[in-house]
Amino acid sequence: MTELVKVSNLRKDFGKITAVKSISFKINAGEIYGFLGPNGAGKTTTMRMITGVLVPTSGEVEICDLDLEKYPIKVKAQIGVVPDEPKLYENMTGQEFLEFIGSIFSMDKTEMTHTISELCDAFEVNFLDKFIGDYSHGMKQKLVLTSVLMRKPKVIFLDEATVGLDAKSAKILKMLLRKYADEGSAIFMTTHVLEIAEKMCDRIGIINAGEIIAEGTLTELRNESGKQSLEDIFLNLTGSNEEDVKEIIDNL
Amino acid sequence: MNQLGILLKYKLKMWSNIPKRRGRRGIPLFAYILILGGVFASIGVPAYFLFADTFKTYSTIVFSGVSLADLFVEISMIGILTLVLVTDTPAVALNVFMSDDVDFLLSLPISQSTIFASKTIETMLQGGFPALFVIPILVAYANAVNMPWYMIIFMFVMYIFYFLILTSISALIALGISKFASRSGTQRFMIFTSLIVYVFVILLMSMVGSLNSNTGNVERAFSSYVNTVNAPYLPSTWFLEALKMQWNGILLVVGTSVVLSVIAYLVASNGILTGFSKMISAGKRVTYRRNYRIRRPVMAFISKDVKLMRREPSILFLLVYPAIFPLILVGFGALGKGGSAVSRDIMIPVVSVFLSSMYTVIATASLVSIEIKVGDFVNTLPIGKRTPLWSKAFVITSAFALVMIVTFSILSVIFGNALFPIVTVLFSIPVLLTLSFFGVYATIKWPNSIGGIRRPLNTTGTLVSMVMGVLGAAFADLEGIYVANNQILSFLQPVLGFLLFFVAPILAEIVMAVVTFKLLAKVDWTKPYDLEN
Repeated sequence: MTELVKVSNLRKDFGKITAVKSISFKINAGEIYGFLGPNGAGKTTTMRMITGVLVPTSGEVEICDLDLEKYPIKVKAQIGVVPDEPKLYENMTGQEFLEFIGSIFSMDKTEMTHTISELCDAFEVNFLDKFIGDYSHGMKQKLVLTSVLMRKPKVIFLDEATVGLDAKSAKILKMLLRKYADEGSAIFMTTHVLEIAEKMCDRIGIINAGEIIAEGTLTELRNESGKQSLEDIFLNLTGSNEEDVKEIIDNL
Repeated sequence: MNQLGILLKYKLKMWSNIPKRRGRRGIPLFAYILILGGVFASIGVPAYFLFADTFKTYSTIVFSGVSLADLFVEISMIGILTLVLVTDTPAVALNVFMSDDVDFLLSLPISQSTIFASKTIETMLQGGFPALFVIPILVAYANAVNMPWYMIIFMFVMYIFYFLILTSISALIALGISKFASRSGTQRFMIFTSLIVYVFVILLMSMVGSLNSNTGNVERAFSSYVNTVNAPYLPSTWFLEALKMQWNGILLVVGTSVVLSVIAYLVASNGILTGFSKMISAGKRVTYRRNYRIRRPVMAFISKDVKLMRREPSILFLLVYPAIFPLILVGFGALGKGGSAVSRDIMIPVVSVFLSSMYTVIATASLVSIEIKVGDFVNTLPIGKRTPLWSKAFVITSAFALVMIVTFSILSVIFGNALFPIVTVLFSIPVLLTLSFFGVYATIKWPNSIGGIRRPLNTTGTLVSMVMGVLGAAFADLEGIYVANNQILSFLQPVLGFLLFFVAPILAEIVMAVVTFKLLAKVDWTKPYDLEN
């Protein structure tokens, strides 16, 4: 099986604080990898490091057999990143933004036009002539998704990608990601919606306090923890359980 | 405390918290008031003495029952009217109907009218500061016409009513704008309002200048302006009539003020929700163009930066300023009549180069801050780390060079001397390029994390940038003078002139470029606020 993402002993210190403590994982072609963890566990920091946005303190990242540190531009040409909070150029129209991305990735004009048209129909994007500064969060999210999915990158990183999307668009995104994975892409996604992770992800990694505390398929995680639902597994591993939560609620 | 009081109290708290966000000690509110008072006094007191003398003379020159001092007061009132209507209207639209916190405030159990009132007061507190500068003019006028103390109080009461008229009109227009304009459209509209105000101020200066020249001029100019300025439908005329205790003037000022304030409060405060909803929504559906243009990555960046530059009002204003300033000076004859041909031919390009150099740093910093605002996005693209910087430096340098070329071409057509402007532009280009890279460094070294695109640098950064801009402009101008106008250097030995006006500036430019690039190599332009913290 082709490993498209290889992360080895990745660590990030911010001064005296260690946000990520030497984590390692792999994502194969055709696999959707769910990266879960409570707030502040190190999910976004990890994603920023493996997408070349944040320089790690130590460790190695290989994407499509290319060392990210040595070949950042070649790696970035192979990946697509959907951040949790899309910050875009407010004084550009959606169309201009897509044109800009298409140019940066040297896309074929005919293919790009065709794919954009299909994605716009799918996500009901009918606001490309408007300035991005006038978009809502969901509209920005759809634009970023279009700009990433139109390139069909080999590796896609998504940080809470369904937040802000309507039910239909979220459903289409989930099915599209499955399709891209089946066609050979590797997908890394973080989410707080455990139901999405349960239904979509082939393998799941759970990070807590900067360390991966569990990793495997859902069946493997179930067998290991003795719990059935991902919610129970997650709460159990991250130091909470049903009784703790109930006690908190009772005390409120 | 009532809800309006609570909203205003916390707004003031937020303002006084700004230094804390910058990592400094908090400054108490009274310190801000003292600073503003100091600024006001430093301008207001000299202005009072200037106008007091002028008004004493001009109160004796009367035409059709209106003295020249009256005319000055009316012109000032028209100035404030224009300032408030043109600059505060889009500001109210943005602050009242599109402010980020309106969304939150509308979700609270607070009436729309309270939100409207608090946001309008907040905007007027920020935008109404220039209205204070009429006070020295009014006091000087009162002194010149020997107004008793109770009339001075009455005059200021009338001024408050006058200001309410302007505020109400402004709020009503803002409400109208909110019904059809988008947020980005209103922001872009502000650039034109700024330009209108700028041209208007120059026009007023020119008018005042022509009145000041000599007595013959004064009478001629006075007779031509008095009927225009003293038109019966202008609130400024009502204000003047009110000061002269004419009942129609008092009734018109007070009546219009009260009626408009009530209408504005009732209409605008009930319309805040619909106006807000309209401005944040995408508006009508449109079909997108299916014709995409693919460029090379570097060209894509340049194209993107050109678009962002011409759509960002604050950058556009910086760009237009060095162009229109010399043209307006010529248009109103401020330099054309007074100075000699040589000083005029040299002074206008020199002024333009100085402005361009100083603004190049700020404009680049603004463009970089747009990129910084986008966050990690650029870092996820398969491009070299310096591509965005070169693109920005190229775009800003080209834009300012183009502005100077167009301005100087027009001036050359008017005055016929093209050599000095052309040579100066050529010598300016490398300086502008270096300064634009310095702008990138300044954004990283002295960022203003809460200043946004309009104020990308903190106070130190702004001062250093100005110094660098002045130095750069001086180098380019000295070289231009040596090559194109060396006859004015006849007082120097030829070798000394060559060394001082040509070799030394070029060497200094090289040093400036090397230092800038070395400094830039040491920093990561994508992480400016890491340094700040």
